[in-house]
Amino acid sequence: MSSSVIIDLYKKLPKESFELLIHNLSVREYLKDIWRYYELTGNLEYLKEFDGIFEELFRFFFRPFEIVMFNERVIRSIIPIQEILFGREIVDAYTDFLESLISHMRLTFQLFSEPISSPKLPVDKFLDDWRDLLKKFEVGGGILLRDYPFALPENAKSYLLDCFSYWKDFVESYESYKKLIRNTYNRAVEKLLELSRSPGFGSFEKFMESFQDALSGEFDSLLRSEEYLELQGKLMNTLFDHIYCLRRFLELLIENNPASPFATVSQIDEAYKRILDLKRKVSELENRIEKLEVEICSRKSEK
Amino acid sequence: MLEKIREVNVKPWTCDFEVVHEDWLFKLLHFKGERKHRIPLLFVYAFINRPYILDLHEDVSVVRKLIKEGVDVWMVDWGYPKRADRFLKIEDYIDYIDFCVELIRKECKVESLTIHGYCLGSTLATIYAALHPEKVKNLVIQTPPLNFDTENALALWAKHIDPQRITRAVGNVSGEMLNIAFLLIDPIRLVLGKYQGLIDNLEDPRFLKEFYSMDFWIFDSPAVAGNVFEEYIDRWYHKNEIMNGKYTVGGKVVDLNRITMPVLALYAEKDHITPPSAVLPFFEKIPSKDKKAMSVDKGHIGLTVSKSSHAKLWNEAIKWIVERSD
Repeated sequence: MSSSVIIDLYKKLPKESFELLIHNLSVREYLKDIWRYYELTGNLEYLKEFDGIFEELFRFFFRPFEIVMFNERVIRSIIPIQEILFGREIVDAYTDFLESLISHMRLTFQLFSEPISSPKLPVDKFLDDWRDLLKKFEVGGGILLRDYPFALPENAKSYLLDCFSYWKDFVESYESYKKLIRNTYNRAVEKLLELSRSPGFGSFEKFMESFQDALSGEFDSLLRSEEYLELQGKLMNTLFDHIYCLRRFLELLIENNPASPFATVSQIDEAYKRILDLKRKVSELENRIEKLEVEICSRKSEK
Repeated sequence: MLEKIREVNVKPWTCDFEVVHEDWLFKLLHFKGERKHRIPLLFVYAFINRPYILDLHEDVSVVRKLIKEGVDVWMVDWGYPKRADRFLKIEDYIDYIDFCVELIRKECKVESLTIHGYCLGSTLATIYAALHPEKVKNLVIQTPPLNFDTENALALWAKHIDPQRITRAVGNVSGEMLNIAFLLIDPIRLVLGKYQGLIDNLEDPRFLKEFYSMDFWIFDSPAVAGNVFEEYIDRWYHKNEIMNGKYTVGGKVVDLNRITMPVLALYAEKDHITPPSAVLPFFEKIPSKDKKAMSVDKGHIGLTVSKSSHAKLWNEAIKWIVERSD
């Protein structure tokens, strides 16, 4: 496979279609390896290639959940972490150190880049003046950093705590979900191994067919089982509740900042809702006018 | 090995049409062709996926077949809902069907027309027919979900989710989310079997064209507007309101006893999305005296695009429509 063909297909095909094709090419390689082993030994056992197939088949379904798991990092980047909140002296000392280092570096750079006595260009002069101007407004951020929990708007704190709580439940449900899928896959492989003992497969095509049948049988039952339905429901609820609470938390931060130039999704939604309601009213009025016009016309013709 | 896929050229739609009306998101299409029968036909497609499955390629185009028989074909295109459409209601979809019907009645100078619903479009078409039976000459329902109290995986999943919690978080339900859900319903056949079959046929240009015509369509998934998703899951799947006679549109009850016009039901025996049990109880319940059910031993999409369906079922179905179009 040349890389130019792969890139062309990535551009051309629907993204799901491309991904499933690529995963299935790998699955085919794993299946061939397993088949070669079976042909050579006349026996089939749990080979590491089965793990590879599982990864290739289910990455597609697990990835969306794993993307959400990164939310935790997003939250941490917004909220100062405990260590920073309580390690004030270390932070202060480190800040002093960084400031001296930056000043030292700036001076060194200046010494090497141009003679000290040479006149500055207007652009450099302006940038220096601008920096000096901004320095006048600099304040220490340490206190605000430590006070952060007190600064949160009223409802934001509830959304933040709920967001953490749903996230924890979501991660737990996701781990159980992955385990359930994995166990089902393992059961299917066990069935395949049993089949390999008697009556065997005969050909690679027959082996592939048996593998698919074993998987289909197990997954058909799993996906309709009460255990799966309950777990999937919990996974979905905690996932979407987490997303909602995180969004509302971020929205409240923005909405409570009088200098924020951004409208939030909830505010825009409200506008969309009103526009659609007005559109319905306009169309209702148009219909009534049309009916009245017809009525007037028919009355006129009666006269 | 994959070079031949690069050469595949997939273009949706094979028949010419004109967009006769646009209402922000929704469109009314009119196909070009010679009108030999008085009664026009309006396709009401689902609000999931795109309507060109009915005109996917020349060999399996239902639209082309109808035009060839002289039927005047119109179609509603529900478009790609955006965040701005989050608060659309199913009622808005029904209103737009009525707008289209009125426009076609005036344009074609007829009292009523044939309404042909596909999948969830059948649900909309049936609701419309029950509310305005005088404007519906014939009702055709293709793979229709009408009885939502079924035991297939999709129905069981729908009964176990809380749509409000999803929509309050994400607004609309995106096409990507729907794609993953539809694949996960039958992962081994749709993710493994189907693509292993593709790998076995990478050198066959005809296979590749048909495969990718389908795959482009399958993954061309519009989002479902948030409110519509809530109604769809809650009122149809959770409460089965249409079958129970409790579904209302703009305060009017959707009474299935008003489905007295000729009805043709097309369903697939191996349909894992709308199994036969999603239509047969409805079919038995409606009072229409001229009703017929036809089935094929295929799946949800196979009914529309398989060559065997076109060789048999579609010829009979179109004959049924044509016989009632004058």
